[in-house]
Amino acid sequence: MNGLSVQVNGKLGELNFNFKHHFKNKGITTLFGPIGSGKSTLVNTIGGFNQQLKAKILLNGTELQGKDFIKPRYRPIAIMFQENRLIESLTIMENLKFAEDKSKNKLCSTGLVNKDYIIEKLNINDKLFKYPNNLSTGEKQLVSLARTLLISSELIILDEPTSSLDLRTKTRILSFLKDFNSQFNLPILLISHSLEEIVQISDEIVLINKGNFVTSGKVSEIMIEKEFKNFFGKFESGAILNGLVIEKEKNFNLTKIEVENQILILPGNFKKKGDKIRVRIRARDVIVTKINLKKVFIENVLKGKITEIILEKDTAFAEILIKISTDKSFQFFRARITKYNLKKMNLKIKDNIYAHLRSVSFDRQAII
Amino acid sequence: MEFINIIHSEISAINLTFKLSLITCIFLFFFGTPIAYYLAFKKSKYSPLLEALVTMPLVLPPTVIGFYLIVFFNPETILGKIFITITGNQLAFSFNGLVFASIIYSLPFWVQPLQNSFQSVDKKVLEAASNMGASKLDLFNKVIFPLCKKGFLTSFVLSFAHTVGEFGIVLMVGGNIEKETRVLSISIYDHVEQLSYSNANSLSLILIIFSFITLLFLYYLNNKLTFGLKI
Repeated sequence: MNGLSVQVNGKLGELNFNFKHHFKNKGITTLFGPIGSGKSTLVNTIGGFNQQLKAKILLNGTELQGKDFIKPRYRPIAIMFQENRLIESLTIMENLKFAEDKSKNKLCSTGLVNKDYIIEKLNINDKLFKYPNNLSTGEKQLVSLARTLLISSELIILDEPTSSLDLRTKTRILSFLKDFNSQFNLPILLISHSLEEIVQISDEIVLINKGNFVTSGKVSEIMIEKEFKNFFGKFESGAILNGLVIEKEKNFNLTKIEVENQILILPGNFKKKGDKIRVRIRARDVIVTKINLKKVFIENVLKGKITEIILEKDTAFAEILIKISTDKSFQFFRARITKYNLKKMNLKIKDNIYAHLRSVSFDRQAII
Repeated sequence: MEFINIIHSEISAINLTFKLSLITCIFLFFFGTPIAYYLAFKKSKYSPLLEALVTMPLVLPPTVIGFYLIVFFNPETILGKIFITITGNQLAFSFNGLVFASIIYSLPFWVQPLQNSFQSVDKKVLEAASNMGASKLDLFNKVIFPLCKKGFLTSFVLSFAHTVGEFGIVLMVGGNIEKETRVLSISIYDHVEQLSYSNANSLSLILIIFSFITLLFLYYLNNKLTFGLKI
């Protein structure tokens, strides 16, 4: 079976691992979980560097660990570890060459990615003849990423690859990773606890907590799941909407997008006309009414239907799951309103409502 | 002028001293390095035992080591016979015996700095290199050795200088045979015994200057051997 099958059990420190999942052989999957949930331990186990846990690992049908133990150096997996881990005694160029040359030893069927292409895309041309000690932390992270992509492999694991990058570089790199993933058809397993990263480039999310598999699924589906909500607390809970750029208002620096046949206007200049776009809407930024207030004070309004009402215990708030749809497709997002308002407006499941989105509710970082 | 004359007359002792030190260091490179590597990277239940054995020469009086070497490597014993088969000489009163004793005596001076140096290599960097497909040999050649150049240099200089300054064990094992086992330290002792203080003084000065220059060279180079950023 193609893809990565992981089964890890056992106790390590305070974590009791009980993780079983099959990662698909395409796209970008994010392994997501709070700090200390066992993400990096899982990465080390997959790489063959942690033998304290009982593990069964299969990659594209080949058993890497289970009955036998394939040594880390032969496993066709490229890992970018959290720390940069560059070889200090080698220049950047030599570090890159090292990865390229040595990974020829791996049990791997895919070809090598062109070094010049990676160097150019990650914009590290002027660093090539420096030593790692002369680079900033962010620059080291870029080199570390470049080195990982040059390892001949069938799967790329990136453990917090953009944690030290500035916002602009981060956005550029995430965009590049998305392109890289589709161009070379190499599946990427991303380890992250940054919501922005996940929203921008993930196709799937796998949730891990305290060493246990929690749930998995497509980004847009899982963002509205309760388990996911529990990871972030109330304020982060929200939803992703997929849309299409239909118009750009250059004079006002606005971007018009279409979501399920409805129009949203975003401040800022994003992407090109016809591009797909994802936006994140936070539940607390949604005002729900039964009448359309658009003409009064708010530009962005989505017409939808209430599908679920969750009353929060011991707080003044309730969460509403709203479905927006056309004949062919549908998407969900959440709104968080007071129980008082819920009662006053007499909101019930299956009610048609208007969701008014404050203009700030579009997270710039969530837009690619 | 007198100084030069003395150097001239003691040239064989000077030669012998440096020859002994150099050969000892070469042997230590091949035998001491794997021990340091094992102690740094392969911790096992036997590590403390090995570590204690390697460090023993640091705390024991050289005479004790010398004494037991003579006893155990007596030509009548199996060890003594093996030694003769391999080197062609018996251990006592031979240059080969002196080399062997020096290796044992200077072992902690080779192993300890190198072990510390190996231990300072970030294991995570080694893991990352393994993930790139590097073999154990690649790791040693490309990562460990370059990062531990300082450690090797320190081990070399300390072992070399320590062998140059050896006295007790040389006297016990090698005795005082010209061109065979009479090294500088023995020669100085000899001169003092014969009350020729000016000769003893000249040779002592040579050792002091040599030791100082060697250590100066070591610390100077240690500052230089950093990749990229000068710390």
